[in-house]
Parts: sequence; structure tokens; C-alpha cells
Amino acid sequence: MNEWIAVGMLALVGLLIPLAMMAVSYLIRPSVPETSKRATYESGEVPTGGTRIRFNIQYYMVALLFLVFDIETVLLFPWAVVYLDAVESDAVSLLEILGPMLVFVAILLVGLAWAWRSGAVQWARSPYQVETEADRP
Amino acid sequence: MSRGAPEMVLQVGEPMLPERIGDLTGLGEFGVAGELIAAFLAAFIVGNLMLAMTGLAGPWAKRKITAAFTDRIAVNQIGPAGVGIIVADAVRLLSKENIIPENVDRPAYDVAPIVVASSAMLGFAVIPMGTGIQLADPEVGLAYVFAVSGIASLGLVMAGYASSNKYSLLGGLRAVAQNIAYEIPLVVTGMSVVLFAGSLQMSTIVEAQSQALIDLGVVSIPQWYALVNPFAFVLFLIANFAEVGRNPFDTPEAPTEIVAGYQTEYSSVYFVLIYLGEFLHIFLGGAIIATIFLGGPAGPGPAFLGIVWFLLKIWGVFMMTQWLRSAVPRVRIDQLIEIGWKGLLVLSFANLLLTAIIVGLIA
Repeated sequence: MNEWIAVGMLALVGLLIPLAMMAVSYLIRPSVPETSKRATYESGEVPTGGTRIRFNIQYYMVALLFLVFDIETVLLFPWAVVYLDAVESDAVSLLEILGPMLVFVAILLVGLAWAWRSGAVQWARSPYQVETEADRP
Repeated sequence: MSRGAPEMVLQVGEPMLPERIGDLTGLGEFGVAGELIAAFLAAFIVGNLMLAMTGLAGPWAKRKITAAFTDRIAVNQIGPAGVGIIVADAVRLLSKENIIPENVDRPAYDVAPIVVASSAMLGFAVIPMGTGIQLADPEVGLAYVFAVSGIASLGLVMAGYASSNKYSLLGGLRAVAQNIAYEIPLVVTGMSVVLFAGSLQMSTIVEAQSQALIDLGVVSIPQWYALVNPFAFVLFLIANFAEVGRNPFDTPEAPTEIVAGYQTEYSSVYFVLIYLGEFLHIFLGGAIIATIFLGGPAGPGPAFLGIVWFLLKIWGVFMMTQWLRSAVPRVRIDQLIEIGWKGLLVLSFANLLLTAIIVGLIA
């Protein structure tokens, strides 16, 4: 039997369980519509302004950084799988299997160091940093 | 572990749960349809086992453990030690009115709880829970688990954005920022286990841990990767707590800052589904830790006790999340991002390179 059938079946069960719970809840829950009840929650106050507010640009910065590192991990996986076999067979030396990956990771770590230095992974700037940046030409 | 050669709990190539059920019920003789039914039954058993675990953990164990930490008694009225609260809570929550706020984005708002709940369920497909209690054993096992557990972030950001609430929006964004910050350390640390085992297949990883590390005569200590590489184990634990959004990393739903984050506008069955998804995620994290670091279903005694050892291990991880919940203060969002990108990421790469060098020198 193809093992992915079982995985697909678990996906089906994983969908059926929430749907069954929603069906049961639909049958037993009351429905008393009121307009004030359906207002957006804002700590009991009347909501001010829209919801699509401006938020910290850093969310985008870390997402960009994540893309780079996520692709890196995908590229590292095949290497990790064949690593043990490669070092146990005498066909290649340790340096040959380890060296290229060291260089690859090192390049990315240089990138991380640059992102670190330029403040891409820093959530908020300290008052001191804001001040010194204002002085720059 | 008993003296002498450790008993093999799990062997590569053993029949999986669907085949066992097919043989047991005679469904295997009915061709494709029989196979499909057997696979469905197996998936149903695994799905409901995990549902029962979350049912026990959410309404009952969590309350009892927190009460023990704060010197209270908690639920004790219905049934022995108050376990009847599980049924009472299920009825109570499902029979609540489902209040849908006026500005929500309808399809996404309704789909998000289902995505959160079912994505966590999917990961259990490849987890070996005992002798033959495993749904499937694909060669990409570990990569598959990491991939499907990442889907939950999508559900959280959908919930946060579609709720049309400022708290929800911030909670959803925080959840995704946190998940992506800790995903890389998690996967890279998991990769250091792959270097030892030489495979992504879950059964191979478990089997590789069954050898004795040190034989002390009376007992032999198994070669669990938590003992072989404790540094990786600690890194993985921390990254896992952040990945499932538990203390001290529960910033996305920080009640003192953003009410309840992405689940602020959810009530009734939708709330139950998000809550269920979170607990399933804690257990999935525990299952990954148990499988790749704690020898999976391995333990003393006969092989059929594997499921008991496995459940004990995932409950151990759950207990740890509850201990941290009671004992450790929450980190701020800026600290959270910096711990992830500046701390854990660098440490996890250091661990990977060190492991690679050590494996290279030993072999």
C-alpha cells in the first residue's frame, strides 16, 4: 500500500473532526442577533478608525531574512542526509564533504552579520540610536 | 533498559498501522477499497487518540497543574479528581452562541480555525507511537513534519487579518514573525540529528537511537540523541516552545498586551478549534522531540509498552510547557525577535557545524 494514502486519510480525518464539531455546535447553540453584540472588540470602547493600521516595518525585514535562510535549510537537507554515508565510505575525504558546506554557511552568516549590523533584526531603536542617526548628513 | 542487547522497539520496514488493521479485519483482501477503509480506520484511531490527549490536557490537566503551582485545588466536583469537567466543558463551549463580528472577512474568518486545527493533526501521520503504531513512514519523514507544522502560521495570520480587529491583526503578525524567527533554529537543530542518523525517515532515526551508549553492567544507557548531543536537545526545546507559542514565548497572544491576539474575536466552536489546534501543536512538538531526541517509543519492558513510553514522553514535554507557564515571565516582542535571530540562529549553526565535525571525526 502506498504510504501517502494513510497521510491523505489523516488529512481527511483532520478535516472531518473540526467539521463534525462545527455541525454539533450548529445544532445545539442559540442565536440571538443584536447589533451591539457584533461590534468589533476594543476593550469595551467604541472602535476608533479602521483596522488596517500601519504596523512596524520590521515584520517585512524579518520575513525577507527568513526567505533567504529557509531556502538555505532546504539546500542543507540533502547534504545532511548523505553526510554520514559520505564520511563512512572512503571515496571522499572529510574536507571534501565538509568544506563546501562550511563555505556556503559562512557566506550566509556574513549576510546575517550584515543584517544584524544594519539593524534588520532589531525591533526598536534606542533613543541614543535615533539621536545619532539624526545627526548623520 | 534491560541488560545485554537492548530490545528493538521499532524496526525499519515493519508493517504500518493501516496494513495491520487491514490484516486484522480482513479488509486487505478487498483490493483498493479495502486498503482505503483500513487506512481511514488507522487515521481515525490516531486522530482520535490525539484528540483525547488534548481533551485531557486542555480542560483538565492544564487547570490541575496550574493549580498545583499556585497552591490551589482547581476542578474537583464532577467525577474522580474532576475529570468530568472535560465533558462538561465540551458541552459548554460547543453550546455557546457563535458571535461573528460585523466587519470580518467571511470565508477567511471561518476557514482559519479549521486550518489551525487540522494542520497540527497532519504531523502525527509519520510519528512512530509504538510497535507498528505509525500511519506512514515516508523517507522524507522529518522534513514532512516540519513542513506541515508550519502551515499553522498561515491559519494564525488568516485569523488575525480576517477578524478585522487591531489586537487580532497585531497578534497574527506577531505569530508569523515569531514562527519564522524560530523555524530556522528548529530545522537546523533537527538537521544535526539527521547527521547522526543519516536519514530523514522517522523509523530509521528511532532505530539509530536503540544502541547502547554506555553499558554499566546492570543497566545500559541508550544512545538517545538527547544524551549524545544535549546542546542540540536544549536548543531544540527552546525553539520548539517558541514555535508552538508557549511561555516564555507566548507574545502573539499576550493577554496583558493585546487581549488574546489572533483569537480575540473568536467564540463558541471557532474558539474551541483554535484552542484545540494549539494543544495539538504542543503535543506534535512533544512528539517530534520524543522521536528525534528521546528514542521515540523506546523504554524498559516489552515492546508493546512502546505506546505508553511514547505518551509519557509527550506528556513530559507538555508538563514542561505548563511549568514554564507558571514559572517564567514572558519576553517582549523585541526581545523575542532578537533571541531568535541573534541568539538561537547563531547557536544552531554552531551546533550543526560542531556535530558535522564530530560525526566526521568519529566515522
